[in-house]
Amino acid sequence: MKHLWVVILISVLLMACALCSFFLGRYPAGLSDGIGLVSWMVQSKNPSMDPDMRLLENIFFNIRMPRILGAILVGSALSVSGAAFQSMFINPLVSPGLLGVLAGASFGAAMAMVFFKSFFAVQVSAFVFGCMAVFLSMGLARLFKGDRLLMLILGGIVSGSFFTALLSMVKYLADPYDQLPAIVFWLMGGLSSVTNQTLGYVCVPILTSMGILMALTPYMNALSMGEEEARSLGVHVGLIRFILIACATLMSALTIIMAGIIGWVGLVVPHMARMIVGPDNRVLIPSAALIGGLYLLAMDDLSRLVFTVEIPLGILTALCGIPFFVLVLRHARKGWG
Amino acid sequence: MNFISVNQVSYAYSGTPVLSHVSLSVTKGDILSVLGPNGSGKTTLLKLILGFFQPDSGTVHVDGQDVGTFPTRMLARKIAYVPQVHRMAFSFRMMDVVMMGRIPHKPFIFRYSKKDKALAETAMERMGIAHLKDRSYTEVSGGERQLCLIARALAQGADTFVMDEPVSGLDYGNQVRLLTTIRSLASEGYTFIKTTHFPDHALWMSGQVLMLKKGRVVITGPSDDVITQASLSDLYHLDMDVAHTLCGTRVCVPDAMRTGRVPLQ
Repeated sequence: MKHLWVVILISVLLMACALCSFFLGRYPAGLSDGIGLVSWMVQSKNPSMDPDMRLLENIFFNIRMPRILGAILVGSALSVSGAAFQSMFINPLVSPGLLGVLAGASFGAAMAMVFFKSFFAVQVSAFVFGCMAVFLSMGLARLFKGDRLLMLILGGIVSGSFFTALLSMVKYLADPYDQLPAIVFWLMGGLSSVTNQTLGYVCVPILTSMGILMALTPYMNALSMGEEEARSLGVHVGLIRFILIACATLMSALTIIMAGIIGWVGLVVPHMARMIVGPDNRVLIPSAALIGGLYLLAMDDLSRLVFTVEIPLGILTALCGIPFFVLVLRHARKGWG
Repeated sequence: MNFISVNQVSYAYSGTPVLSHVSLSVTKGDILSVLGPNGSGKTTLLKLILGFFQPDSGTVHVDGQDVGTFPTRMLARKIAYVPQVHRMAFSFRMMDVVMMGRIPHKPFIFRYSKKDKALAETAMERMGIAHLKDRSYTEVSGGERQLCLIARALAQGADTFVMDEPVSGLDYGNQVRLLTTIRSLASEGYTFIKTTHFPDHALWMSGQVLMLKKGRVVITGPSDDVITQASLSDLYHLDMDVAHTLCGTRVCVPDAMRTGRVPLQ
């Protein structure tokens, strides 16, 4: 039951961090303003009656809240899909982009930026092409006989490279003064464009997928013993693997429409979680969700506070993830404890 | 009653025949050792029995029912696969590995119950590794890992254990201990089908032997009748001696060790 305490501790930390994040930001709206706004609302007065309160309401509930919730959701979705992929592919060096979802979504978003110009179109197109890239790699894997996992990985490499090439083509065709910078900036990832509305329509599918993955954690343990062994244990390997890939892909694709490409979280956070609670997916997956949320929230706070200009989140997660990953590699010989 | 029967099974992999017209039958409490050179189709035979592959022709029956018609979960309650000691990518606790054996008894969405935990612990106690249950699988010895995998098969509730070269990767002492464990489980009524590269081990088991060569059954029967100078020499294309020790057990010795000559392939 040691792990239960760890999970509770991380949840408390996450909540504390989320609460603090409400009062951090470029605009000076701190704790006292927050208390003022809450007491105003507790007296059931409409904040829009007072211009100061209206401003505060806007800052707290329309700017900071979606950003905080978005960071937690994106961080945990990426971490859970990364952890699921790692146990399914029996490889701790795998990240959620393995089957090409990131490459596909990047291409989809870039293309929509050039041809449609509406942010909603960018989101839809990123999602559709992200899923399409994964379908392509699964289809390629089906074409060939042999080790299923290896074929899936090769399919992912092919489909990823294909969509990366298409992305380069779109970049080449894009208007270099207006569209190209927008594409490049979007690919760096960030949570500044998350709105309550976007959160509203992504949170249900993300949380549902996460719930499904958590229900299947005993099978993930069996799958990481290898396909034949899992099968001899009575696991319907093909079906479980399909559900895992579908849920992980859905989650990653939805994080992309919220926040663009945020690298390294899906690779590094499962390792952090594994170092803390061990490799049993029944504990690992929920812990990775909590740690991922906490990690990305903290990173996002750093990205908007440390310098006068906001650093794109994807750059920050890479810069912080890489040294940590090097540390993890030092422990690699001990069997990915 | 034949618990497992394989009738005239042929199987080809990408057009290359691997097994042709193989038949065998195993009854409860038997130990069947499958002997044969590399590439003779031993592992494929096991995988057909486990239902991983479907035969091109012929049938594999378990408890009188065709293996192909068993749902994965039902087959897992009857036959357990005990793999070779392997390296694992993740360092699961020994207990977590044994618990996986309970999967075929659970509904699709499940949590392990107290009963599952108790069954897993009992299985570990039977294998004498209960004290290792919280240790990580990657840090215990090869012999202990193999016992852990057998404990998982026990927890699985199957009465037939299929093992592919179970002694590989174990030191001599652990090999002997493992074979003793297999024999005592067989005397309790568990059935074993295993491949081996050591004719001596098949003799020690004093069970049934099936010799495979190029996908065909050369000879099959009780180990004492089947393992002879002639059959071994033919199987491995070596001059072999089967000698009696002073205490009456039989041992296989290759002549080449004495003469220094190996017959040309």
